[in-house]
Amino acid sequence: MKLRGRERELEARIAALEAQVAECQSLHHRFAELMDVVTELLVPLASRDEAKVQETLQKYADELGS
Amino acid sequence: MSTPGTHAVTVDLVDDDGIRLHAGSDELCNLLFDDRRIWSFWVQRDGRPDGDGWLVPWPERLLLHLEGTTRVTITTAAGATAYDAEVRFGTEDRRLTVVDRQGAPLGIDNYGRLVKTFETKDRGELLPLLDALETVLGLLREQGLEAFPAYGTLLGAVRDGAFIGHDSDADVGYVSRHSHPLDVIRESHRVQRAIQRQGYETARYSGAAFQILVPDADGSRRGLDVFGGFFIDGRLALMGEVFQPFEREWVFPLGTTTLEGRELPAPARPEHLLEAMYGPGWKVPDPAFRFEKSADAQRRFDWWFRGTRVNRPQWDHRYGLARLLPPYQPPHDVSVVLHEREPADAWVLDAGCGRARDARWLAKQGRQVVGLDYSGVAMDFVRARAAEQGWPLELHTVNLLELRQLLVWGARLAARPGPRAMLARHLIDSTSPQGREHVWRLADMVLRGGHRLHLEFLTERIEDEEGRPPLTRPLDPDLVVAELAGWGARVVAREDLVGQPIDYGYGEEVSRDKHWRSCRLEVEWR
Repeated sequence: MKLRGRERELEARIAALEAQVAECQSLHHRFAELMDVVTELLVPLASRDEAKVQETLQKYADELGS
Repeated sequence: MSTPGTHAVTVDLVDDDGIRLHAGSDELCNLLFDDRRIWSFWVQRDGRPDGDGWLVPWPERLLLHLEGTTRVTITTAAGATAYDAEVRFGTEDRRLTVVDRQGAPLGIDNYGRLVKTFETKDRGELLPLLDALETVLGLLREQGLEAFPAYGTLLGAVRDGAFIGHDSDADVGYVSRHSHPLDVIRESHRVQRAIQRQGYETARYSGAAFQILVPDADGSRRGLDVFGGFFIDGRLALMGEVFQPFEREWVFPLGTTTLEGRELPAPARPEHLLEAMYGPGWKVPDPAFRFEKSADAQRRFDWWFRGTRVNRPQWDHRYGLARLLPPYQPPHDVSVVLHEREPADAWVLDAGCGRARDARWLAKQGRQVVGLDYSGVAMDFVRARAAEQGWPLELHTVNLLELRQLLVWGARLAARPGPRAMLARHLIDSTSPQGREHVWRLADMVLRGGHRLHLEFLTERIEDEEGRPPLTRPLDPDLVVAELAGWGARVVAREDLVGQPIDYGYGEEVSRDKHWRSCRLEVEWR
């Protein structure tokens, strides 16, 4: 009886850990996308080139594929 | 799976239901109609117990073609003929054919799809594919990726120096020099953009895999899949299916292999990669091969790279069929409400516009409308009609599940002048929680400063009469309202509705007489 309770507890713990790992791992994807956009934008932003910022956004959107 | 050809196969009956047979173990069989291979199957894997034998039902895609008479031959992998007789299917008095609308022969590939497999083609017809393969390898090489033919293409090259007869496309793989998923994704994005910049259309599958569309001489486009891989903790992770201990020296420096007489790059020791892909039996042809996915590998790939294509192929399929629907359909109530409530000069962003039924109507009322949808099939269809009919509609294929797409489009739309409103009809209930978060972010970027979002979503589970999984799933309005509050948005009107038409993936007409519940919210962004 006690063992089964312990087993259930461990199962729940593993499920919780899996969920936490999933949360952390999926952040890579979002972070990579964010870095991609920010990297492309920072250069024209740093040189305060508004026309270039708009052009970068336009070019980035055109190159996204689907 | 056991070694094929070690036990006899006895076929008892071939009819409209399938193939009834006896086999001592799981045997690989080839099915031929009038001497042409149509399908290969494993008796036990693809069949079900039937009396003291097995019944292997016909693959779903083949059923439509089972009409008329043909000579059915069933052979085993060892080459024995287990069945050879004329069989009449259905009721029509003609010769049975398995061909497409243009009359080209088709066969079932190892994903159960009915396609123009290589064995149905003349060698000359394969040349454009070989050219496309070399083009893609070259494009990737220019970007610093040491790409090589992968999966079935590598298998065919190494085993026979030729394309595999039952295969239908060419795959490409590469192993990144990066060792963290984050960098692998960034690299894949960079390379995709560079290739798109050169004029090739691309479509992303996941953070580490995408497709490059290479134009054919006849004007059609051929999609080649590019699978990214990397080494992590002594293992090779290659998108698709591979995740196992692997030596770097088995990949680098790349060697060569020959495919249909052309020399192409290959991993240094391709046999190790083929074993990782197809198991130790890779040298023995198995036209019915199916990848046995390791749960651990799939979980990791999901966590690292996937989640940006929620139901997209299904919607593409749905909208592919929707070509057949009548061109004009009236707007949904929610867009009529939007039109009444919003200032006359407000432009409208229709996010998840599908076939643009509402976007089109709003544009006809004189509004500037931007329609976004991740279904390229829907967008191509509507764009063509808009050009034909002169609808003042701006349409873009945008996948809001990808953060980079959302951010860039959010910024571009936010910069447009003038009052604006956003319509999102059955969008938040057709995506993942992550996708919903992205919808809120898009609204936040575009609607800041008192503009409004008109939302409609399902609040009751749809029971499909044919048991098909609905692509739209109910949401709790309280949860939605709470999430919106978290973004500082305010619900200014709420209506609970019954019986609004909804397309949950299989056509709107099906639900016309049903009374599912939904909720309509008008939300103001500060």
